[in-house]
Amino acid sequence: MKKEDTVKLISAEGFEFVIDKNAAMVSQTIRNMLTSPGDFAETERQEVRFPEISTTILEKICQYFYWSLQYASGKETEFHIEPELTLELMMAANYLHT
Amino acid sequence: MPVLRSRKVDSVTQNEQSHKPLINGDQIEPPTPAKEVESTTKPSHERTPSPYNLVHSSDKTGSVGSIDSESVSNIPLRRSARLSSKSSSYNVVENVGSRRKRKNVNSSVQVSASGIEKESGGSKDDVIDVRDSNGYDREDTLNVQKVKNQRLLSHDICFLSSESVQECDLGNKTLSLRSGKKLLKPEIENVAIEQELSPYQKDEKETEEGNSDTVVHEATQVTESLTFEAEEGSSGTKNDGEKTRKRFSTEDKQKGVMVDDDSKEPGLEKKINISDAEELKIEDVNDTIENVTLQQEAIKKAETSTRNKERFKSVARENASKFAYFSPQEEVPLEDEEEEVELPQTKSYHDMEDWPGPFSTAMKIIKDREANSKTNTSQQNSLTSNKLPLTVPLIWVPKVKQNHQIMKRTPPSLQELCMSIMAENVDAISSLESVPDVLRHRLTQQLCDTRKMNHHFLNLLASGSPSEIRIRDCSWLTEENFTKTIENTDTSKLTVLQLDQCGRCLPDYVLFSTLSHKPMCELTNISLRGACRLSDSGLNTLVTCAPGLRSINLGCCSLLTSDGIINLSDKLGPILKELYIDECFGLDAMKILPALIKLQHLEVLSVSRNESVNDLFIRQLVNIRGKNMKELILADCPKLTDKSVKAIAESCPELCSIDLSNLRKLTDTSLGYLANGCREIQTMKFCRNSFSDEAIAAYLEACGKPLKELSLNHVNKVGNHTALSLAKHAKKLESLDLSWCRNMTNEAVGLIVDSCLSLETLKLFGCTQINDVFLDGHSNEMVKVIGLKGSQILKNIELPYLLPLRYSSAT
Repeated sequence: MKKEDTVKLISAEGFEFVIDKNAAMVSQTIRNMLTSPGDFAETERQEVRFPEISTTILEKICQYFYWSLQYASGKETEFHIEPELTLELMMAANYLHT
Repeated sequence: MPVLRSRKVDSVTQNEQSHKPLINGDQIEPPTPAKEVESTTKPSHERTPSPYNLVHSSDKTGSVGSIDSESVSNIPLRRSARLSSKSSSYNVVENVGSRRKRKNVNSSVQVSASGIEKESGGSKDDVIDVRDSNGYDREDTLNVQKVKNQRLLSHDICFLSSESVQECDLGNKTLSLRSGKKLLKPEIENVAIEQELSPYQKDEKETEEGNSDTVVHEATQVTESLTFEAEEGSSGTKNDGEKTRKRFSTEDKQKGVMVDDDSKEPGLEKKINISDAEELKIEDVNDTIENVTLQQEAIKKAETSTRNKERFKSVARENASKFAYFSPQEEVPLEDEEEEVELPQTKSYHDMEDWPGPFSTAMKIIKDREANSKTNTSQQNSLTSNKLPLTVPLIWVPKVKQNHQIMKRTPPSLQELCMSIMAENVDAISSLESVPDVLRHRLTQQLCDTRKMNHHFLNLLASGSPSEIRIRDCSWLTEENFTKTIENTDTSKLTVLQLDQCGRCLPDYVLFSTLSHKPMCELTNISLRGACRLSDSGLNTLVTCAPGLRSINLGCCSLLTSDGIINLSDKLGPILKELYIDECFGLDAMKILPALIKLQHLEVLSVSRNESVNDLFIRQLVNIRGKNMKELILADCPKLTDKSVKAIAESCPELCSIDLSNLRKLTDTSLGYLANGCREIQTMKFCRNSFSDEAIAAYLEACGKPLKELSLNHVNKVGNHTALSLAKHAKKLESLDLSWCRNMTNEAVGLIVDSCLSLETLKLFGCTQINDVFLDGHSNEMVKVIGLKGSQILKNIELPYLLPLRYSSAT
């Protein structure tokens, strides 16, 4: 993957997830952050920090992004979510507008 | 022409009761030339063509030929004419209509005109008698004599028209009167008719004896009002009858009025022409009626006219009750005092249209649109509107199906996925701490919808110091559980409490023992819809322990009485902003009126489904409290009429939302008032109203810009005009309900969807005429279409998160 096609999502613990830009754009919030006009660190460095989202949740979210792209292109599978993650995941998803 | 003469017309003598020998012995009817002719001529008269032919021949030959045709055509009508005044009035009415239609040649008009001229005396009587109801056997007066050619001609025309009436009954398309309503052969015919109209009217004018513009105008006005009924009435026959009857009586009255005005020919013509240009197609009908009026007056004699006036009036009165037309709008016309009531109403509509204001401008635009469309080739019309009676050409090109047939299915959002898992495993949720209110509400809603809501979750919701508890459906909740939960709840921070459908768990005594012991100082918003065991004393207690209430929803609380509301307003008068008392059958509108007036800052009021709500109540309420009023829900209050809407429009300039569902008495005038008075309406709900396509389109032209939510459920007449106006003006529209609007075509809906880019929800229940042409052809990706086959309903209706107060901040 070329550097230009990727973005970096950083969790609360500091873990960095490098994913496709298209995948990240599934989240409306991230899309706005990365494409907003203005001199924001996010746009410049193409990375976003999420101090309130834990690593496990952020990982699941990234998985969701890819699953979502897959779904939209026709391959419809099921996205499994561990029940104990659900609540936090829902809140994170709400924040990310996804 | 010779055929005509074969009729045994010894009955030619006018004004005599000479009963012409019936050739057809099977009917005991006043013998009429028509009848006799029928026997001699072959009865195979086609509807449209024969009159045309006959008329044409009559043109050449004078009335003779026409008599023949008319008599032939008249036969079926004669019978009915005899039997009911209604049909006789048909004769008169249809007369002009059919005659106009059929007479494409001015010469015929001339003939008739001149004939009318000649006929000064008795002929009038004859014609009049024809119109009389049962008692009068004066048809014999049909002068079939050669000498009385012209008179007969005019008379026959009556029959002709009556025939056309019947034809209409049989679904004939050519009757102008009908066509005004049904428009099976729309524009061309009517255009022709209009053109004929002018010269004809000109002639009529010459021959009239002092018929003034007044009469015509009044007749127009009257008929206008009637046309509303006519438009919606499917039983056109009755409408016509009533229309004409009505017209007669009014006209009769007018006769006294219009004394010595010289027939200002250009004036009248102009009026008529203007009305033609301005009014709806139905105006053609009006003109028809006008013409009939003119014609008859020309024929009548002054002295007999008075006598006949009385007769007509009595006839009308007699027969009014027979034709019990069930449209509530017509109730007014059918009463005896209708004239007084009727005229002001029609006048007001005229004012509405003539009065310079946004609505009249918009109406003109619509009519121009229509007029332009009329002049288009029929081909274009047929292209776009095969089935619609009157349409404006509407062009929408569906997008070409993409090559990749892959249906782009939007993946479910992560939130939804999580929500559904949580809903499945409610009991596994251990805490809702730090979950924002929005999500709590959504989750609660999902649980209620899937009936998985339980006590455990309620406890979760109530744990901590909740600020909002919204439960749409508490029917699962028992008194015991409720008591337990509330006892353990810290309500100090509670601002919103929604316990809808809590009838089971919230009788008065539970309220006393629970909520009354809790300090709820912060509570601004409480909803106890469906608290069917809550009475006045419970309400009083509630209000006492929540003194900061700004919004109360007491819908469907059937035990409440006016005392409760009076007490409520005493305590919360200065601060209450929203009050929902819909479906509270124990409330009487006039009794609670003073209480409502005391609510100084009332912004939202719902009194729907309350039969005691009437015009007076609304008028008085909005006169005083209208300035702040932002939302009025008046659905299902059957007594409301245009007067209420007028009052609302005049007094509520900031109105944002109005719900006029199921108010059958409202007419297009209401739309006019709203368009002129309430320019900020964002939410508009109609259901089963009888508004016309043009009126709604005009409203949209004038006030479509701020509109966000529009419901046209069961507003049957909605069609291309509305579609065009929506596409042009409703740019902010987010939700549109076109359920049961059977006149909306694929093209119309496609145009709307492609032009209203903010549209998110489109409801099309009952619109089986919408199919894949639209579904696959529209290019709006955001819109969700609900209601067609296979569309999920609940999933797509997501209630928006409402702020505690709809229109202002809670602080």
